[in-house]
Amino acid sequence: MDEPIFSLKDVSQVYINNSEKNEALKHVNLTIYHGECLGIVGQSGCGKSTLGKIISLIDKPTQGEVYYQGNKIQFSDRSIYPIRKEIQYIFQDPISAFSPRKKIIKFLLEPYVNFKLCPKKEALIQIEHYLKQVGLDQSCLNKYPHQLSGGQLQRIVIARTLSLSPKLIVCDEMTSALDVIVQDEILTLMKKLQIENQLTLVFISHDLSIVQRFCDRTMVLFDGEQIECLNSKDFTASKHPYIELLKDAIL
Amino acid sequence: MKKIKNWTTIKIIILSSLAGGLLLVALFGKYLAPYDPLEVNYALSLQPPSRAHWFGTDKLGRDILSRILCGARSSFSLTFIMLIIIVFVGVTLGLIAGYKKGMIDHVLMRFADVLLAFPDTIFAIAVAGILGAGLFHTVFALALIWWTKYARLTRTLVSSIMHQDFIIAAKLSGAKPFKIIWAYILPNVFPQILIHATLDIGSMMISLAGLSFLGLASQPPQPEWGYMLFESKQFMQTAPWMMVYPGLVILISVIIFNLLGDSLRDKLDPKQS
Repeated sequence: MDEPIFSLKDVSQVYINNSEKNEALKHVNLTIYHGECLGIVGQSGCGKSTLGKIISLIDKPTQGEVYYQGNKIQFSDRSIYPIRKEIQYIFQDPISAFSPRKKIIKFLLEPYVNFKLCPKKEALIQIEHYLKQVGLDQSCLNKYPHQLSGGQLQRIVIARTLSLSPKLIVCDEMTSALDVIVQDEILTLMKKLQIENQLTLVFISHDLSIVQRFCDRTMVLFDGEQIECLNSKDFTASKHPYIELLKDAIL
Repeated sequence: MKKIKNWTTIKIIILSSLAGGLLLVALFGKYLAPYDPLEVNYALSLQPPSRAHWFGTDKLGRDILSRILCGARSSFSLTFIMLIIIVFVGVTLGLIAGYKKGMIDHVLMRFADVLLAFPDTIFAIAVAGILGAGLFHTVFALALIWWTKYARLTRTLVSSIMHQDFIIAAKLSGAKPFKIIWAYILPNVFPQILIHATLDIGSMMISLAGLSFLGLASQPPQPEWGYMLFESKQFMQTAPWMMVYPGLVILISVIIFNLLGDSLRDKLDPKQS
């Protein structure tokens, strides 16, 4: 629990749009410990997703240093490739994560083919195992993404993520496209999987109640600035005006 | 709603069988032709349409029906060879520009802009003027300008796909650039390209016929539709059949391919119709 797995030092991200500077993240420092569940909360447009994409090594920050298991990350395709499997990202909108012209089976086989993990026969057995873990069976394998529901698709995304046996998973608003009941099922599932597979989770959300229930620590972002990083239990005690505002908004 | 869909399907079936028929004629026209298209017989020159010569004869007494049937081959093969070159070059460069972005994208697209500034037919005439008239030079000149359209189209489509989550998802699951382009981007770009290519067959045939008409594409003895129009110019009033029939087949083929392209668009891309 006390062993850091991932850390950000003075990370900033600036987008330049038509010569207009947009500072999405300002000097963020963050350490993620092994086996914990870190929540990141904030309003829309506060830089949550930007941060998530940096943690999952999809985007390169304009400034600052990123360390994974003590090694500094150089953001080049070649140096990231070996650790690609270990850091995964789950999308907000499950439907958009699927290419509309590919069957589910192809989607799930992709990691096995790309990383040459094991022969196809064995891969199919493993896929079946992971599907069972997320509460699905093989009947979905020969369907196209549009034939399945949002909750089912999100489970399939989770199954594929698990098949890579990652160490760190960034969940970017992974439940916000789903209704409350499915949301609860997925969260319970993630909690279970986290314990079973000893995962470290970064849970990005705008919903404080979920984060409070689900996460060990919570980081609050406001307009690209890191406000506080608290134990979720201490959350109610915080006096920061923005956190007060957030709390008021729930009630 | 269902009725409209079925109607589109029926239209596509009819039009593609017509287009297929045209291609068959292009392939086997030589065997269907009642006379040798190159046989010169001055005794029969400028005969109006009759039972022996359905479409009449030209100034050298050659049978126009036979020349049209045999000419289909060079007209179509020229169009298709050019289309394949253009689509291949355009889509490849468009994919590179859209995927890589940055410097390569800028260089390619500014180069395309420069080429687009040339009017295509005039450019082809200029090339023919410099390098000499000939099939290869004309096709080269037109291809040099027309690939830009496909490159731009592909680039636009690619850059909109690149922002989608499934590309990031593919990267996360370890897909390398070539695989992403081949398995994720191309299948989502291809239908659009196909529609444009089909729609372009018509305008390409007209451009090539136009250049042949100006005497820039075909070598004289071989029959070719545009060149047949060129030959008929002097006899426009005395022997109008020399011009009417080749003109008519060009018109009909262009209409068939244009309608086919239109209905393919309705079928594959219902949003834009």
